[in-house]
Amino acid sequence: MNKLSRVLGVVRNQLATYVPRINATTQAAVAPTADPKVPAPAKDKHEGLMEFFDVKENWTTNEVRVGRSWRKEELRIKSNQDLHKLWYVLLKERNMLLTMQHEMNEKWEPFQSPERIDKVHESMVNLEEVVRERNRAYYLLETGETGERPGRVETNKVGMHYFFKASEHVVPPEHNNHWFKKFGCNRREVAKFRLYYNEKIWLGRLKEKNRNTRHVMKLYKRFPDLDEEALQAEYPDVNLERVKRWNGAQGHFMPRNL
Amino acid sequence: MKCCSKPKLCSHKLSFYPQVFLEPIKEWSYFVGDRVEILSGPDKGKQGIVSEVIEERNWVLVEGLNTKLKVLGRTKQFYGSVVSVEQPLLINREVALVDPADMLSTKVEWRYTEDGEKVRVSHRTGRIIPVPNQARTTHDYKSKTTYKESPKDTTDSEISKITFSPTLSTFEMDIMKSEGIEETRIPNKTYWY
Amino acid sequence: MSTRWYPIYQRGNPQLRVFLPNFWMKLVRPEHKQPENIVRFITPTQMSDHDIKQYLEKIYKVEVASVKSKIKEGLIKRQRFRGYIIKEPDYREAMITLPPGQTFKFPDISTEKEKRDDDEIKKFQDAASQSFDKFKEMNKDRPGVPGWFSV
Repeated sequence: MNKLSRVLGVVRNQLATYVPRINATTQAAVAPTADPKVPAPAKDKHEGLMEFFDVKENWTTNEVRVGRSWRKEELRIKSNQDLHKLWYVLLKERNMLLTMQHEMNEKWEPFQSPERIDKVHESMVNLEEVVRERNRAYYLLETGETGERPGRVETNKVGMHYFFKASEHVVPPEHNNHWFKKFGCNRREVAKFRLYYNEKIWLGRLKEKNRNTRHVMKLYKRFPDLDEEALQAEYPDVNLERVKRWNGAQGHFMPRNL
Repeated sequence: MKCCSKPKLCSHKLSFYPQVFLEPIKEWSYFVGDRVEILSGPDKGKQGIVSEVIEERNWVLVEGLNTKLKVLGRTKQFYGSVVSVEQPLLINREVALVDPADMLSTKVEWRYTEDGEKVRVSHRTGRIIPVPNQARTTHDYKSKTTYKESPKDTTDSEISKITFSPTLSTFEMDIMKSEGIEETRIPNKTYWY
Repeated sequence: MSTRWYPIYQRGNPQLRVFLPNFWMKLVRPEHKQPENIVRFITPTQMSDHDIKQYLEKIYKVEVASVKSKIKEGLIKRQRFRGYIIKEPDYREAMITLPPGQTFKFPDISTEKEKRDDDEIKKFQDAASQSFDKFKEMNKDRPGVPGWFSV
């Protein structure tokens, strides 16, 4: 038993030297070196770890006022190096906010201005989108393709359409025995299901249209002089001229000479 | 609203929503801080300031007008305290904007000035009714000019600085170049399927 | 290519690098009493020990002697009124040892805030009692008349 486990351990170690662990090849191999905001390595104590906390003035306040998030058009005029530095500033800010929120939650106290987390998140999403835009432009110019993960609309086994996202493989599909097609169906086998499914969708749409028509009728009853252009824009399926003549749309008024 | 047009058939029985009839409106023209005139009800003909806008129901609350007395906290020992609560008013039907030229109620229209600015214009006199500053307040500031910069904010001059210069490289290639990372190995072929 | 798609590695390929890491880390108070040089972190479950070490060393410039981490299950509890089950997301708990000679003390954030809050509450209470005194002074001559009935 002992021998077996030792052998297995050896084998695992050998494998590890061949196949690199994906995450092991560094997150942040390229943290910005020239960023002036990053302090020098803390020798004596925890200066680096104190970056996980807000500045001391904000510990006791009930509110921390900050500006808005970065917009895409502002990020587009910045160089790649600037964006790279900004990403790490945002990353540190988000870690700080999450740490403070966790601490405040543990102590049953309100976290000041939680909308800061959303602002930082929005900035990070925008930054990533700008970087993708630039890369897409490069690949389109050089290779004629976007360079994004390819995908297409496919039919699944029951005959319904879905967006298939392709993934990367070392072996071409004709030689890959482990991979099998998830999409494609026999039309004759799924015909009955498709028929019922389409009927259900069609009936749903019909019911919605009838419901809207009845709603418009009641609207006419309550507001006889409403704006028809706006009404038609909200309910494009409904034939207003037809609905207006219905009895239910006429309103309920007392005769004047009573 | 639409999902529960038939309350009896409503799938979630715990919550009962009555059917609401909303008059479709092209463009919203009532904002907090506007002076409006009330067209119906006990306070008909009175003018007041809009204190709250509820766009989902086409409602507007006017400060101190169209109120109802309500008893709060009544018990056997305590007779409760009476407060007056403002009741909502339907826009365009129960309430109308006031023209600042003659202080009478008018219909309004959205038009463009020569500079391309979108403004509210009184139907009767053609005078512009400016949107009040109160409507422009956000969670962060009362008005843009009074916003005080916090130490973590990026300054305006820093934001408007253009540092981007187009090069024929991806983001990753550019960063590697500036960090001094050299990579001559060519990736092997992979297949996408 | 999206910055979030990690390409597969084959022998002889260029080194795989992440330029915009998206991992978050929370520095939290240890559950039990620990030696002074041990720091507790909460991280996403996808992070490995190597990642945590590199993250702290490269981005925060913190020297790390060793990392021990394990995945912990999020709390499962019942909703009070409707009775359905709520599960909080799983997380990875990382205990980090600083090199000898370095210590870290978790800062006392809430006690300072409590002091300030107590002051504010006291101020509020004083203002309320003052206004009530004023109200009593005003209605001294007319007992039994409701508060809203005034000029």
